[in-house]
Amino acid sequence: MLLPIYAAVVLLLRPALAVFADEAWTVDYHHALLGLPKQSTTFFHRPDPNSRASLIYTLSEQGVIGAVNPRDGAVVWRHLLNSTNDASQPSFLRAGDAQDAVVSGLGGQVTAFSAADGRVDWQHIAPDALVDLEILELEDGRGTPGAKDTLCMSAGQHPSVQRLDGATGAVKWEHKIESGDMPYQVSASTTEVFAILLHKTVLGYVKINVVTLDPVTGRKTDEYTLSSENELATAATIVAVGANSASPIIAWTDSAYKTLRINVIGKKAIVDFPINTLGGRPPQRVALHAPYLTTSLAHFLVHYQSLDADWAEVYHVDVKNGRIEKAYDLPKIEGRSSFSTSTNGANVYFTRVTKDHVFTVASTSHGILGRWNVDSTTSSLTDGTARPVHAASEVSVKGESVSAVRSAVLLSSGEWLLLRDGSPQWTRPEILAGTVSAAFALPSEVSDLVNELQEEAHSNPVSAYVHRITRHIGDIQKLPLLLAALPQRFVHGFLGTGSDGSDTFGFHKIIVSATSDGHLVAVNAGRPSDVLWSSAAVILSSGQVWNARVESAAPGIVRVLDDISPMPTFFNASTGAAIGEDEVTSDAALPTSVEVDFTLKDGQLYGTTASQSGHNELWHFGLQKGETILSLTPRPVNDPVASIGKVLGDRKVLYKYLNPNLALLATTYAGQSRLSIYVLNTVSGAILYSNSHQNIDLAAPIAATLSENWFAYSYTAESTSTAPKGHQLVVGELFESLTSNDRGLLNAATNVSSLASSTQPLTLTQTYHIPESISKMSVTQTRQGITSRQLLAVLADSNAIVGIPRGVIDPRRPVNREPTKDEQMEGLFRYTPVLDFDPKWYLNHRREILGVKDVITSPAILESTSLVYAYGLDVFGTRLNPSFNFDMLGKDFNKFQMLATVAALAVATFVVAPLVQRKQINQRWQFA
Amino acid sequence: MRLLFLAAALGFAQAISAAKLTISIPPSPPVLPNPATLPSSTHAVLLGSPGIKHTAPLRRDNTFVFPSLAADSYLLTIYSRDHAFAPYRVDITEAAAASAQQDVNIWWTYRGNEWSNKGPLLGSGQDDLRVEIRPTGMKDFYQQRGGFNLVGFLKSPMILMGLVSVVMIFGMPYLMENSEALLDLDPETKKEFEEMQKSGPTAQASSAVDSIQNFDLAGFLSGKSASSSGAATPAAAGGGAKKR
Repeated sequence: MLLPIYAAVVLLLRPALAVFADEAWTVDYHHALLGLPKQSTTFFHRPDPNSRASLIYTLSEQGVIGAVNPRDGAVVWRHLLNSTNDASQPSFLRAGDAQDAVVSGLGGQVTAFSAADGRVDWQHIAPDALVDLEILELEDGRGTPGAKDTLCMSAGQHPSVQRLDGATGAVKWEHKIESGDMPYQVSASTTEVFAILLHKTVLGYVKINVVTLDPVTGRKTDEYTLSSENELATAATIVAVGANSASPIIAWTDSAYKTLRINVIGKKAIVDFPINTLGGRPPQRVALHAPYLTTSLAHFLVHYQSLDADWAEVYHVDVKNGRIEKAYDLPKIEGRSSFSTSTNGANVYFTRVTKDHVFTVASTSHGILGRWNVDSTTSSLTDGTARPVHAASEVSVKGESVSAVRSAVLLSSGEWLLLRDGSPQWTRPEILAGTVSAAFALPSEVSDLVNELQEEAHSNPVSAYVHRITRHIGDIQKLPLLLAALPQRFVHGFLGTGSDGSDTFGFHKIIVSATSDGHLVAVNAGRPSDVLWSSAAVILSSGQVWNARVESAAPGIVRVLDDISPMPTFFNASTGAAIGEDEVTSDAALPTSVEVDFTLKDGQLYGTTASQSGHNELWHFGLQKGETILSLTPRPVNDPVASIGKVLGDRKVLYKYLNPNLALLATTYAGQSRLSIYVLNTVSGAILYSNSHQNIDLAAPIAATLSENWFAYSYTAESTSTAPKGHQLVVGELFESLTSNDRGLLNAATNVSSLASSTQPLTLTQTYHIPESISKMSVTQTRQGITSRQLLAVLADSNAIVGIPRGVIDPRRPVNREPTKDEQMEGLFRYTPVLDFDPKWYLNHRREILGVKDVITSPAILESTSLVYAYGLDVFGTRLNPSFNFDMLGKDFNKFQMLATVAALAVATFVVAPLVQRKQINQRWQFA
Repeated sequence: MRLLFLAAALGFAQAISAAKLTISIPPSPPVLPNPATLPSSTHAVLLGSPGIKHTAPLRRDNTFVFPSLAADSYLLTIYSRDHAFAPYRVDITEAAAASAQQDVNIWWTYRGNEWSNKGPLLGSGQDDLRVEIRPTGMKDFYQQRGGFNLVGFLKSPMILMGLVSVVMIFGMPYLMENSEALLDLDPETKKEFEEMQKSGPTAQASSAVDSIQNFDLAGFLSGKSASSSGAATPAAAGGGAKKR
């Protein structure tokens, strides 16, 4: 068996970098996010019917199902159901009363999860995309409370309604909808199942068709049409189809919101209620809140929302004769309110959350049972910057009064907030789950000092002296404050508790993220628990996704490029304020103008040169027939390299091929499982290296990165007679020559132009067999590039990010022989075809990072440290020391021990000094 | 943990003959005494021909179920947060031309080897196969720092040597003074030693420098100095201590 050899290799790699146990949960930070919860799929539910403890369940817009503990906001379990992030796809989440399972529906997939731990109970593939999913609350005669069955309705070519067994997911019956109508929703009363269909009339209007089904056999028992010919223009004005209440209802309005029409499903009568605008503007949105249980009272609330106010009406349904009456009104309140329904036994309660108050009323009367002020510390809700979007509530009832109410409120700022009797318990920054792009902002304070010093250096001596004196006077004024804070600072520094807010090491960089719903959110890498600021940068129409890119423009300023405005917009990274372009002093460290630019346009790669007459095409990458560009990875703009060569074991130098204009191009061939890799010189368009791989799984992720003078890419390959099946990582390195102390053709040249010379680098590559596919790659960055680099690889299957030390994937590892003494000196060891990811390389250790789309890195002020930030769904950040923290005392430095040693030595000195003195005197004065 | 449970191709494969594979995780102490403690993110992935990938989440009964698999050669990998699992090869082949049955075989496989290099057979069946797979070990994410250990510190040869020399420096004069009581020391030797002591600080210093330069560590450790020139021993030992 070869396993022992691999184990030995893994052992050899032991001294490589690892996460230290004492730093594991303090240096790194992680927001285990779910995404923006949807109103229809968010509820409180008891995972164990015998216990009173409940969890909040949600299926978010990002397609994540999860359970959150309402006590502290921690995620109990979660699953990423789809990775496409298509928010428009309908998704469903239902839980039966007193059931220990929740059933989700997304796409064509119905899955039942164990409510307590998120294990899967059963899965069912619907014939096509789902349009609705309900739990059938009715008990089947025997009275045994087994697992409740699920009803699912699917659209597509052959729409159907299926009843699935609650225990196994097997199909009990299927009713095919053959009328050609569009399936809309499914609903159930205690005795019947209703399929609501939409019938398109010739004039383009919509009619509501109700098909009654027998719950036991699935046979059609009745069918009728509700709305008249030209009443409903679109399905959008159907307010709600109440499911599973004692008497399910269907409600719709006309497009002008003049009348509300309600029908108790199963009865043919339609009741009209004129919409009372209470002397204000007409409503823009009408929503219906009804309990989801058959055992609850058949009461419901209609929520009207106008531009500036919200009000509601509560209706009662008489189950016996299907009569609907209005019971009472809830007053109009300026500003947004959200309503939510909760039940306790048969009683139904409505909770209203406004900017300042939380009210709870019973469905039976308008008397307020509980009223709490929203704690003013809930900044984003009470200061008016955010408004409640929707809420889910749970009430605790003692006798006749409501003793406590917990509401999970989604705010328009994207925060998910739990209010317990009006006081905030926790907030979750769910907005960050939709991050499409993020960037580290350059710190601004440090650059201020640099600017001042530069001013002194460049002005004449007298004014420089005056400037310096005034600067020092300014500094002296800060001295008392500094002295006063000093003892506290010492204590903090000594105990390692907290920080004093100063950022000496550059760990507190601000990260600005753009989210798909048009927000900009900033977090501080040093204090990641809360969001620094959040603002809506653009107004998007519903369903539109913001394709933005955030870049650091200048110290303290970020630039946002998107497809909406042609010009970039600028924002202050520490406050979020928008600033004009003229106020931005461009960063000198980054090159602003380039002679030759390259662009990817319409699937073709061009190199252009800027001249007076616009852009001239300089070169064009000639794709072969059927070849398409998969990805283009240029070398990072800010990629400092400390050494132009590699020092070998015998103190000779191997010169790296360092060219700032490198890019890695990956292409595939249509219909062939073939991957081609090119390293290009982006100025001349020359191909410096190319390789092609056959039998590649193009559905699997292909990741690539390029840094310094080396590149890496990974793919998944199918087995051939010679090659194994599995995931592979290729690492290549470019050298000027492979002879030591020789620069090859570049030897004599002081200045080189890529256009004039055709120097080709020499490339060494090695391939490793890796245990799983890499979905994204990145490389650590440090300030000077002295610290060795780490290849950061996102492992989607393990929900992890690994940092592979550069030394392990050095393409100069000796193949088929033991390393020589010189190679050992250099740290090279024998090449093995298998590269196992040591768990100690996992940056996330025991955390599980879901749905990471990209990893960005940034240097800290300390040379040893690189800041890492991963985003996509979860947000994860940490600090990495690829060559250990050589310029900072780590946690292993025991300050107590050091002080104790100093103290012991001092005591020893004081004790021994008189002894030594006496001895010396005696030595001189005593004679035999 | 992407629950892209079944690739699109599979929905149609149901109609054709399709094999079912069930993998169960039994209790396997000491690595995994109770499989119910596995997190719900644990999942198994079957990687087939290019474009075919099936993912099965962990079920309530500690199993992964692949309900319908088409004939192919798959790589099976199980991903868990805390436990490591070995890779396996799953082959599904049509049993005979006439029958609609399918053979399911599962072997060990080794990364970095040809696909044909199969390990021991784990299980085989027709149409429906249930196998037990145990984790190979726990993942150890954390590097422990070498903490301060007093016993280990005292055990190091350098510290031992230092301690010995300290004992010599402070102990020897005391020994000498009470030598008549403690040791049966030859009065002549004692006199010689006292002579040495009296010969002044400069001579002592030079002898100390001398002994630093010509310090014979091996000889010192083997106790050679004690026998030959007892008088030089304290200086040599002191020198040895200073040398560090």
